[in-house]
Amino acid sequence: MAPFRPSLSLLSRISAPSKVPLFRDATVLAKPVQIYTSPTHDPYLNLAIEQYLLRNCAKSSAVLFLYVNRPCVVIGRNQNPWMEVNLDRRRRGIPSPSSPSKHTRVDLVRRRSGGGTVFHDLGNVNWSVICPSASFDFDRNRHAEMVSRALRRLGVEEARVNDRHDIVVGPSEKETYKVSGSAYKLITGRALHHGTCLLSSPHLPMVSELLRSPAEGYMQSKGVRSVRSPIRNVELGNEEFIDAVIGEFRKMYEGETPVVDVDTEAAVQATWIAEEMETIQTADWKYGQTPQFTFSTHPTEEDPRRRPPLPEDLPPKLRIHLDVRKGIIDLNSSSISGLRSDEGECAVRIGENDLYDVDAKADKKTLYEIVDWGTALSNPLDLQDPLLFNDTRKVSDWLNKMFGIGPSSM
Amino acid sequence: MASIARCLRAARPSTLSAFKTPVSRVCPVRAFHATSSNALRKYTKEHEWIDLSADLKTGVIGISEYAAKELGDVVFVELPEEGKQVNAGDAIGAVESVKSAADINAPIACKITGINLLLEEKPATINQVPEDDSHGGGWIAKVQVTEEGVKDLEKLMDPQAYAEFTAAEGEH
Repeated sequence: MAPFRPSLSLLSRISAPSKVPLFRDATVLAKPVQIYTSPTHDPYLNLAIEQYLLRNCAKSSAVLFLYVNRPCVVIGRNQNPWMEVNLDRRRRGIPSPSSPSKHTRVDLVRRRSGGGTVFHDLGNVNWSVICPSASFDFDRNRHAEMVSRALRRLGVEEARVNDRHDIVVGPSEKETYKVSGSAYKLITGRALHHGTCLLSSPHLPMVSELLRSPAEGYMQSKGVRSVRSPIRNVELGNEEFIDAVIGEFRKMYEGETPVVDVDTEAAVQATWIAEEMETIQTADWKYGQTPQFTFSTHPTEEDPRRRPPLPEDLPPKLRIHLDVRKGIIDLNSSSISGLRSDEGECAVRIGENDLYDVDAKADKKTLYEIVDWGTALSNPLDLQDPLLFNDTRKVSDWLNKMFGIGPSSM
Repeated sequence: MASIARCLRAARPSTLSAFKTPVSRVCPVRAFHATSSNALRKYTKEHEWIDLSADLKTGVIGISEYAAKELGDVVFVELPEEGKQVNAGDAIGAVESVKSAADINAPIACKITGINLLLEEKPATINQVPEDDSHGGGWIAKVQVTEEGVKDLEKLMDPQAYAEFTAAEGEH
């Protein structure tokens, strides 16, 4: 079957047979039990290889794929990055554990499976099992249990799977720490179950801040929210964990299957993988696939919650309401007013005077293409009105922070 | 629908009983059914259904009650793209439940002419009335059937055959 592609022209290809395959020897993909590891830490390449294996391995095969990514935040298929991630922090990078004055780059990645947001780095190993869905007589815990057994074999005696299909450790039912989360993707005849496992991540103290959006209190979003859980490393090395998971997988699926380390040079040249990598790196995929959401500084009929107080230096009568679908602001249902701190009655049309707007009468503006709210909000005439100019700048700076806009420090 | 039936089983015992009821009686009291009562209904092995108009020109697509039960609580529906032309088996959208994104496939070749926007607001409608093709129901898309699509119908199951198919799946 053809993989589902989101409703974007550049993504709407129907999968043609791969012109260049990953393996010259196609029988590799036909084996009943297959085990792969990846030498690359590129999250896009690893996710593309994983999808390739999901869609190209023999329909009856059982496949294990293990990989490690460089620091990145990975959101679920139907999540809102502005709501799940502190994009401003991500943009600036996170302090390096060894020298806090330096910053480490963090990628934002949207995967194809469901579920919530997780953090990856080199101290975290991702495991992935692909099976026929028809003979996959499983509860959702089948492969989380497999990984849990591997952890116990390595001496993490308290490792167990909880009712959210996560692997947790901890002294009691009340005090647990998540070490591994699960997500699934189901296509015709095949099921992918993958998860993380925190082994020795040096960035754990940063994860909580990274995964807490400053805009959360102003936003209401359709789609999937993450469930926040305390996390912990299990303090194991990557290699011993990988070996133990392979051992448990071989026990489950019987056989001394050799481990294939994927040739990444071949992988980036394989047509299907190259196209998938390109797709998942676009802003249209990462941001444009966000379910509908609103951002409002004040309670609305649909979302009457109390809002966090606005910073005191913003104009007191400022009111902002944004209605965003697929990452695009619907200007007919969005408004910004009270931009001037002295009179309050100054409404603007977002992008009205935006030099980058091809059509000044456009009724939509792509949120993720805004490079500075100052440009989207200010009118050249503002220069003659220093007060309005200053107020607009303050509002713009605040919005830039809320939506993680600004030059990347990496 | 990917074969969630066999892979994401949360609670099995009660699921089969649902299939002893003919599907056409899912919403017996609804007065204004969008399609006529003798509309042709077919099912795929991947647990999608399609209701066809008497002239086989148009149809409505959804996922079966069996699939909806096996999936668990649906929290988001990726709706198909309107105007898109698809072949039988092409993924046209997906449903997310319990951390799983499961593809919905086109049962036959067709063109998507309408989508159920109610599912954007209330994705759980899929759990409540998955086989209801009327206003307020859990249907997913309205389609125009192509010539190829009419041929594809031959490969699909009627409600009786589908009930037997899911009963057999549940016995494994």
